[in-house]
Amino acid sequence: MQNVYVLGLDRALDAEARIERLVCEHQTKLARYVRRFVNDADLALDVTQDVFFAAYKMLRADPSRPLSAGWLYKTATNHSITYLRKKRRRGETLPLEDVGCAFRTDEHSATSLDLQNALAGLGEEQLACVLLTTYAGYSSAEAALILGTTADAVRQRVCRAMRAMRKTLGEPA
Amino acid sequence: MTRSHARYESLAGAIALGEATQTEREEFAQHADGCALCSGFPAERELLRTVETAREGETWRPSVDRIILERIHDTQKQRSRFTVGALGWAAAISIAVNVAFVTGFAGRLDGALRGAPETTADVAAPHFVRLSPETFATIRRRSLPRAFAIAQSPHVAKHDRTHRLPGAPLRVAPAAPAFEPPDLLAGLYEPGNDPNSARNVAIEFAPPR
Repeated sequence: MQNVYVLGLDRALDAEARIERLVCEHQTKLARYVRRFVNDADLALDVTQDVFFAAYKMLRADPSRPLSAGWLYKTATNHSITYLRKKRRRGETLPLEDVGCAFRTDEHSATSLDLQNALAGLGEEQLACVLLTTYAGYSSAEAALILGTTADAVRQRVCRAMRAMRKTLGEPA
Repeated sequence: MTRSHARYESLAGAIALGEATQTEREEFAQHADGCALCSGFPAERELLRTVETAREGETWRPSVDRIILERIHDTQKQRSRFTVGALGWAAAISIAVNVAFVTGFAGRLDGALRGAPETTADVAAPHFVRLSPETFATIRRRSLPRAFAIAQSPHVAKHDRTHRLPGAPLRVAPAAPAFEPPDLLAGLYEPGNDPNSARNVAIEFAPPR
């Protein structure tokens, strides 16, 4: 799979060159993934920067360390979950009409906004499983490695997330 | 929810993600026929497809590479500044310590910091008894006659004769200068009384020689 290849095998590259390569290859996909997760474009950019900078610091400390795209998604997922938990603790909720505010006008469609509304209603763990498997393209076993759980748990969470999303979409807005 | 149903949820997830085998699909299909909870699975699976297609329809292309590289360069500059500063301070401290040891300042500073005396005089000072000029005068007045008396004694003369080096002249002790011993009884004199009365009393009580 394209997303799991290891970028640490080229020992000739220094940390800066490797991080430049990582950024060029993954910035768009990672930022979109985080935007779906946190439903906030600016915050998604901040989280993406933080993730790449953390990768740079790790490569600077140990230049021979192999770094996979899975590590980027894992760090991004952890950052996003932390943000969502803080937001929930503060009691912040997004009004229904603002659900699609993080998305561009050309991305607006009834289906897309409904989908984002349904995703916003999921818990962090279910959301991470759904986005990692269907959005980032990882298998359940790979997602389990990223999230530190079992493949069966990932599949169950995907199933429960699908059920919850159908319930949300079935409710009248 | 029973434990066995958790297994069917896992199967449903595997089917939705396209990871299930044919046997697992058939097993789940048999279960879904009689399960109200799993009856809506086909619609749920379509929902998952919607998520996948939503990814394809996104047009947002963020660019964070310039910001990240600037941040990395800032960090590198900060690190190099810190390294240069640390090296500068280390060199300055090293030079200062070397100069201090070469000039001897460090030894004195060390002594001062430890509270230790600096010189021999400081070491001897606590044990030194400061004598007044009167005491010095008394010591000299009493010691000189005794020294002359010892020098003129027959024991010293005999010692000089026996231990004299061949050819060396015989040393003769110098004559003692005229010296009158102090009148100790004069201290007993009290103004207004007969000067001889104190002397008489002292002679009367003096032990016989």
